[in-house]
Amino acid sequence: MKKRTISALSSRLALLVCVGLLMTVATPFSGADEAQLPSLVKPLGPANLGVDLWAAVRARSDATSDQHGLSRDTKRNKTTQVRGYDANVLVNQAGETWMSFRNHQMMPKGRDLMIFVLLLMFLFYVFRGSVDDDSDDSGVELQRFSISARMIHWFLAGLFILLGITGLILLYGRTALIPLVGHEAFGVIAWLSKELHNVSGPLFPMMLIFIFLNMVRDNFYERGDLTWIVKGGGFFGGTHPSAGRYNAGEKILFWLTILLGIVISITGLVLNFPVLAVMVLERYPEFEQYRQVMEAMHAVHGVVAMVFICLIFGHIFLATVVVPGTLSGMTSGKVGVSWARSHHNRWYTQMMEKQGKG
Amino acid sequence: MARMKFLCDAERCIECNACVTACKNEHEVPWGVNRRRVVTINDGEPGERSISVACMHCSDAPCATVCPVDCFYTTDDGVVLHDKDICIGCGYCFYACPFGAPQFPDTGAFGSRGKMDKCTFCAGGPEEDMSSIENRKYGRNRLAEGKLPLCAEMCSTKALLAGDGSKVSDIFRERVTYRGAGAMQWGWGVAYDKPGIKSSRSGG
Ligand code: SF4
Ligand code: SF4
Repeated sequence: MKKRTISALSSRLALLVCVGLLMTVATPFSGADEAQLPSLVKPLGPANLGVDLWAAVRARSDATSDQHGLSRDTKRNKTTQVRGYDANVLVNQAGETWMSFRNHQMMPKGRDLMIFVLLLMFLFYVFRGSVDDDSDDSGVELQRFSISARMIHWFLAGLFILLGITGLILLYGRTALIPLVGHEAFGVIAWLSKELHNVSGPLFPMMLIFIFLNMVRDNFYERGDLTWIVKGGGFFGGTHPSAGRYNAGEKILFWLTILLGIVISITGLVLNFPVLAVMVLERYPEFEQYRQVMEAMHAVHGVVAMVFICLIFGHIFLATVVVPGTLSGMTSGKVGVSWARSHHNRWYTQMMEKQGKG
Repeated sequence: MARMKFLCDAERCIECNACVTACKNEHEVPWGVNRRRVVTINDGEPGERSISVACMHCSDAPCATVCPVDCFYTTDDGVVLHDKDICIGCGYCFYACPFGAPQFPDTGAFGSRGKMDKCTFCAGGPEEDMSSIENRKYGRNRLAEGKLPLCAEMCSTKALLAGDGSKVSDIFRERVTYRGAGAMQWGWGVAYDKPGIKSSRSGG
């Protein structure tokens, strides 16, 4: 058994070395090849005419868009009378890359990631359970979130859930739902999902701006945040590390939401409004084709969306199950004094001082 | 069972776009959609070639593997068709297709995509053969009428061939045997009397 693995390992190593050697040998040549591409269709000569022709057929388009957003391939001189996106491209080679990424990387790995995070949360719940505060239930409450903050939060949350569910239906519905409901019914579900996703999607960046303006004030780094992170928010060491209005975890959530939100908004808007993809293509000709812009946007959108979903899984889990008493801050706007004292001691002191003064 | 195939002979295509027009007319294809198109390489230069391209009815069709609603199916003749009732117009098939075959009419608000439309190999769609609803949605079902695709039937130079794969390849093989390949090929080189070509042909 051991011998087997060692021999397998050594053969793999040998293969690696071989590939490495090949690469070092091959690179200068391939570089030179790219530098001087043969003229595509030569006048008849001793060479096989077909080779150049079919090289031209397969060649990636070096497309530039004209004023109608239609690509006319100038360098390769491929033209067509038909007007349409990438109409002059004969063979779309990037499609294969996108297809295999979507079907064989993004879909299984995204699914596994989400299941893994859910499983992790479940294990945490089983082995650690909830974190109790010092359970001095005096009934006194502090105002944590204003009505505007709560409205923004829940609007964004509702939008996120809607976009998340419709997006997941579009990605996984074929494998998960068609066997249950059949093709016709799923066609309607998927159509509805697509329309809802596309219509409500553009609201997301707007809500992102609102929540940013509303909450950024208290989300900057403060002294003590690092200690909070080191202690894992109390996961290690047992005691509650000191925290201000927002603890470091919440700050990370805030900034990740903004960051992932920006990426998901930009890619989503391009996917939603193809005219933007044409603009991207004009600005970044390295994309070569309209389709390649859409493929790249789709891949990034999907990956970021699933990471985002996992982040929000964690957020919901922490705010409801792990730390009871947190949710009321977002529903009634008020939190218990003991909750504030244990989880946000510095904010608690501030609030007490304010109240004392007032 | 026949395995339907298209073949465009680049040595014959003269970019007359008759196939494009014939298809558009035969199937009353929606605005903004061309199921077939002719692409010219090195237009106006020596060695210019044109190729007519549409859906190639792939055996392992990439469009079908990415479609989120799984609306593609392959007929017994090897023709790849799709169901417009289920299609949601997401555009994924267009991203994945090697030949840019799927097309979208602008129907929705803000120019959003309508239901996908592509070459059916003149074989209609999932509706009942030769029914008026099939005709409206997918165009004419010539295969059911015992005819081959109109684009190829119309082709004046018979550059575009359509039909059973083995027949199509027989025709093409015969052509290649007769006219030769590569440097030995008659056609442009002979027509413009390139030095060296004539002698090699007359020699052989
Ligand atoms: S639409 Fe494209 S991918 Fe699908 S069968 Fe036709 S050529 Fe192949
Ligand atoms: S546009 Fe229609 S046929 Fe094409 S992948 Fe989307 S749902 Fe399927």
